[in-house]
Amino acid sequence: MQITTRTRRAAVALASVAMVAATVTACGNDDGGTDSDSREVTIGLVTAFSGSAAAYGEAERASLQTAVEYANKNQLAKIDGEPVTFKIKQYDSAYDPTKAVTVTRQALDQDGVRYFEVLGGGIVPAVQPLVNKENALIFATAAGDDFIGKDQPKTFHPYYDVREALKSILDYYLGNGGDKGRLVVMYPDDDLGQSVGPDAVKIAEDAGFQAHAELVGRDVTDFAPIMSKIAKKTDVIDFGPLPPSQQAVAAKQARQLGFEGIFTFSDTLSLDTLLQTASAADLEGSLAAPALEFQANLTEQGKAWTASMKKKTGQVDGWTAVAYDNLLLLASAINDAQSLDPAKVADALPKQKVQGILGEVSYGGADRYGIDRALNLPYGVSEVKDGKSVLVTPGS
Amino acid sequence: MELAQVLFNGVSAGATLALVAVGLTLVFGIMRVVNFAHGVLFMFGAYTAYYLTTEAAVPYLVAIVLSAVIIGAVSIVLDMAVFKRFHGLSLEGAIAAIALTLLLQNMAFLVFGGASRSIKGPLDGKAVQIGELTMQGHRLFIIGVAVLLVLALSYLVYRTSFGRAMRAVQQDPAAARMQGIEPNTMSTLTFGLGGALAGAAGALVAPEQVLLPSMGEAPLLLGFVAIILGGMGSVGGALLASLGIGIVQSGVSTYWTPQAAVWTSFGLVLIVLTFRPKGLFGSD
Repeated sequence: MQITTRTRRAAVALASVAMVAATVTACGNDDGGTDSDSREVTIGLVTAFSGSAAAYGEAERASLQTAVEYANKNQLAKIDGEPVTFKIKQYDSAYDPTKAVTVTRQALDQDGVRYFEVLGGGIVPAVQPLVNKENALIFATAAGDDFIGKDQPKTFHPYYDVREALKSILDYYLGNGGDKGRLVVMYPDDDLGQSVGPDAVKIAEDAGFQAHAELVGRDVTDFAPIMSKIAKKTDVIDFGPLPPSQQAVAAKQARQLGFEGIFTFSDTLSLDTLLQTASAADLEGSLAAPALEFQANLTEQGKAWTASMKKKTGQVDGWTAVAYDNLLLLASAINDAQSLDPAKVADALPKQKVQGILGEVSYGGADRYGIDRALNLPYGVSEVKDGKSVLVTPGS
Repeated sequence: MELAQVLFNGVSAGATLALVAVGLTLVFGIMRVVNFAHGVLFMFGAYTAYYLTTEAAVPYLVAIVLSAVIIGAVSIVLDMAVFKRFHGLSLEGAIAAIALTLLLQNMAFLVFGGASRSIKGPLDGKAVQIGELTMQGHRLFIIGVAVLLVLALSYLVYRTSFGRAMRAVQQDPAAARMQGIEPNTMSTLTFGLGGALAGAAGALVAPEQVLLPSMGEAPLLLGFVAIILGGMGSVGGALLASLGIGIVQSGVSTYWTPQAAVWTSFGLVLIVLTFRPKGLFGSD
């Protein structure tokens, strides 16, 4: 067969793609090791290190790393008197379910990971079948809760509930003279938005608002069409679990188009990100819950975590505090189970109560889900005053 | 008045898209390379403007010009280093462009980080109000600059010897060579011009968006829709299609949902291609 110049060029180009793909894949893994060592727990951190939600991954890793360092240093977990070492192995999902499935399969089959921390309400259900099949355990750092329940006993939800957060915000808002007017909840146009968005609307309506949901794709960067429609007729715009980059653009464009009400953030507030795009004046009076960054500062361990986060990432993303406290719960459960078998640890986890950086944390939720798999958390509310976020009501 | 707002939003979105699409179609018209790296150049344009304004305290207007120049120069280097070997080879060139895109986007992530950034434009917070119609200052600015750039480009392509040479290479490289025009040089310069337009577009939208290494993906996708709809290689077609897509996206987003706007655009392309496989203004 005669090899033409054209064929050679195509082959070179294809080889280049393969090399780049291999490089990119390799970049996603910086730690080796598996769970084959009986005294070592590798946590597969399946999160976004690239794409529109890339900032999440770095922050989450920093918090989990801080917890791992603390747990290893203080030998929080022991089996038969021998310390258990925690380590992190990171996998880039790019906030894309397809990519998440690929890297999770790699983690299970090649790296032997049996404990996963997975970010994203659209990602968790995608990887659950794979992880369940291997008797592994998932900590779902994600809004929404369709993925937990009696039929998913090995999935835990160490995260807050955006519905509880919205309730806390509206209670505070109405309790402090806020008007019951029109409210729009903005959610991602995916399974999460489709399932939780209507709940959020119901919560707002129960509080006395005229409410509706606007669902937007995670790749939308121009919010002017939506804001043109709602800005002048709306009193409260609630941002659900959209990336901070989208919240920032949407908030700015809402103000440009005449929105005079307040913004609420029921998936915590990334004020630093918002201030980079929208001005402090645009955000004045905004309310957010849960105010985990403030909650963390109420404990000594939390203050150390805050300092560590600032050192590692330059800022404090309050939502990542749950990753820290969850590792303390995991360590406690391993002590209790005296085993690294995910099934035994899953049974032990709901029995644990530990003093974390957010106060006393534990798993509950049996009344709602029929099984204790949701992290009990305080839902404090913060407000933007004079360009700074301040705690206005602590959670309980 | 709501219709006027829809049209304004659509025209401003279409103006930015036009700058991306015109660069893409110029490169395809001359080099026959489908440049998937164009979105990355758009992203680099935005980051260049960011660093110029925040780190070097360069005024925003100057930063737009410098971003265009810098990204244009980078594009020329990329052409000489990579794309030169693929002139006229659509498939191989497209694969090389995809490889380059992956590489550059991941490099951007390592260098710039995953946290979003933004810059302030001189017209931030300013708007022209006519009744219920709100025309944001920066969007008016984008439309104005886009019109100026397109007029300048039209002059360059249709009224200068450089433009004549460019069109000659597009029509028949062999005949152009016999007239003393060096097709490879023209291709490299065209690639630089396309890159400069992408860089300018990135710098222009930077105050309206947040900067992320992935920010070039959405405009690239819509840019392809525009040039296919307008006819591959047709500058006028790309312009009109960009404007049309901007207005359709704005209308569908306003009256329906933003997600529907995306697939509506693709549906529109499919319908047009069914009746005109070469696009609205495409030719053999």
